[in-house]
Amino acid sequence: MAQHSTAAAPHDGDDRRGFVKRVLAVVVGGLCAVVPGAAALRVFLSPLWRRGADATFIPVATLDAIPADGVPRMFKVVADRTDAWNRFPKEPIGTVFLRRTAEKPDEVHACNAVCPHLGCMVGYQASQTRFYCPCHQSAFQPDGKLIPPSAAARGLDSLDVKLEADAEGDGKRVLVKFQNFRSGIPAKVAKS
Amino acid sequence: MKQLLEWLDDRTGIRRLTHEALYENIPGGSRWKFVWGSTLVFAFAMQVITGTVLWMAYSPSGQTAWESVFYIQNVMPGGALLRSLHHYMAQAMVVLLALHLMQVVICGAYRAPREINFWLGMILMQIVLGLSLTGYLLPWDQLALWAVTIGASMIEASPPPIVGETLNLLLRGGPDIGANGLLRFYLLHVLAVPAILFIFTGVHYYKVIIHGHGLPPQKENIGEDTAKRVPLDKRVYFIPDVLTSEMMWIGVTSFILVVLCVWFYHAPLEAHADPQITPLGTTAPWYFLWIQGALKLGDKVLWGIIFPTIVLVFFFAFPYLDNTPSRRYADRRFALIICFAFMSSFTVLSYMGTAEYGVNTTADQEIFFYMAHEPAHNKMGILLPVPYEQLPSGMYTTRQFTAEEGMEESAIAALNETLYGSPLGIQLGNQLRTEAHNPIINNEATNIRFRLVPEAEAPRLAYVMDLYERQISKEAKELYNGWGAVIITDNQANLKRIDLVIIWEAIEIENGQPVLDENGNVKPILNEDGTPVYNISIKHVFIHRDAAFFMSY
Repeated sequence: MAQHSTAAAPHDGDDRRGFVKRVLAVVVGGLCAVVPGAAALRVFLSPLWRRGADATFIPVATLDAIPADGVPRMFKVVADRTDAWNRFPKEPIGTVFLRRTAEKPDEVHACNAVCPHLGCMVGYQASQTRFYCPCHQSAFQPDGKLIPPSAAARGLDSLDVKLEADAEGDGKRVLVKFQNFRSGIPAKVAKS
Repeated sequence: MKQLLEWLDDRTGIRRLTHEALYENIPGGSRWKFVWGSTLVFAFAMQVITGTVLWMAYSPSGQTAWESVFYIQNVMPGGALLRSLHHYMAQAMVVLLALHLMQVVICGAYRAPREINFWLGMILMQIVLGLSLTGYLLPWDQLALWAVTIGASMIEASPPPIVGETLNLLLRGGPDIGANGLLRFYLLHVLAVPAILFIFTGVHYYKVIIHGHGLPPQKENIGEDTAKRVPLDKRVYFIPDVLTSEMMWIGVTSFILVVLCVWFYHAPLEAHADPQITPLGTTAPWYFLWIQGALKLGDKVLWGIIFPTIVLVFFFAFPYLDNTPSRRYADRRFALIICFAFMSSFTVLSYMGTAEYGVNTTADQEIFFYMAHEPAHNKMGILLPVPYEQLPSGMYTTRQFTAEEGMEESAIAALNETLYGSPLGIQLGNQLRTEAHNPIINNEATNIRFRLVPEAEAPRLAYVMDLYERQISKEAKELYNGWGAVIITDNQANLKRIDLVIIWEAIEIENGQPVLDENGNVKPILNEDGTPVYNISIKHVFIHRDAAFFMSY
């Protein structure tokens, strides 16, 4: 490096006045940076204050559409979706598997198709009678229980189901309280 | 000219600046192992240039991102090459980084006084990986959405919950990735991370100037750092000696890249992102395969988060773990063994991370994937690039290809005879109608009629059908007595629907593997009357006359 040999200039850094000057410089400079910094940080952190809509019961299928044979059937959950400044009327917001058994044909079991491991969508493999996740090969029984050894820490997330009379037909329709849950943890915690 | 330069130097000091930055004396001359740093600088410059121009045609929103990338890739003149260069140079940078790091570790160049520069290099590596991660999402295709979903979910799962949740919300811009998340990734990719990379590269290079290039270990006395004290006559000037030799390496890198991008690899663009369907074969980029492999070892938090953190901490601590006074290879056996053990375990873990290793999906799904998966990673289903004209509508079967020479026609006639009105025929018709919603199967099995593939008219289809048959016979253990069918229908003008069907006899399966009896045979599952239980899997795809699949064929 080239040498800068400047004579030591007399400066007042050592006395009290110099100290006050320095403190002032730090405080004023800090304040100047705080204004844009804080304003930007508030917006950057805005997702933390965001609150999603509460889960509601959404009609998903008619009871007749689910054969009472113990095999899960896949249905899309269609509802209005809001994504930041975009609003999408009547779009799939999730996928559920509905299942009825021959023993209890009036009971519908619903589970969310999102793999509780890392959030991929599982599919049902009829020939193996299991759910299977294409990302990390987690497998689940038709009722959603985990088949070990799997990467997932819990079974598929079951959802509340309500049956109500179909206004148009004489059958019943199936409503599902649709929610997503946090992935990767053993506990079933709803995302807000 | 000379006067002009004098004046410029007087007013700006430019000569000293360039002298400090570029006229550096390299002791011992240029060697191939010293060039990785320079090639990385070149790679970054190339990413900035190609990226800036890609930026001109990219539109970051869920409704337009994929469409704009499709436009760059398929419509814009020169767009495909530009995007391929950007895509593959990003991956080449990871390779170059690994080589740079390896050279530094093997030579022990992280020793005092260069520890801080080693750490800066480690940080630069994280920054480059951050660029890859953020760039991954921008095409907004299936691979992008699901790879980033997995990555963000891993962050979400990191303990303690409050930290994981907060980081996830800040990264995705909400509980799930959407308009806000895409813009966050976009801004990080085009502005924030490159700016940080630029600053860190500057500091990293400045420290190289301050301390000089470390000498090869055998050229200096043990415990000394003679980089700055090499006699002038033993030094080589950076310009032109070192620079020209580095330009040669950069030239070689560019040449290989351009050849690969023009003739062999095009940057892939999969189907538009669909949050409701995860495609089979979603894997991390190859340089993260080692984490995916580690995840298969067990607990996700331990192997997915704690283990990579330990690896990183270990690298940062390396200058102090390898603390013998000598930098010579013979005195650093322990450190070098650890270094090579690391490289080997990375290779093994990466192999374990591939889809080929460990639990696979079922054989029928694997074959459908082989036949019809969407283009990804320069692979696509072999059925997709069959020319549109060579897809005559009709029903074809792999039985044609298992029949003896000259007996194909009678084999198909016999199959049609067996199916007609039989339980299997009815099951097949029912499944095609109710499960796959095939419009031409109107009542059970009455109109299932296979015919020969017209080989003169559709040689490519015949070729693909033959491969289809081989895949099914290869899985004969799991697909017991299995055979396949391809049903092509003219769905609309310029659109064909292809149903792939695999039919096999059910056998006992445990943990995804066929159960064998004492003679090593599979155990078929039978109906009460002793007839076999059939399994039928169906997958259908649509092929449009203008689909881009044909371009690489």
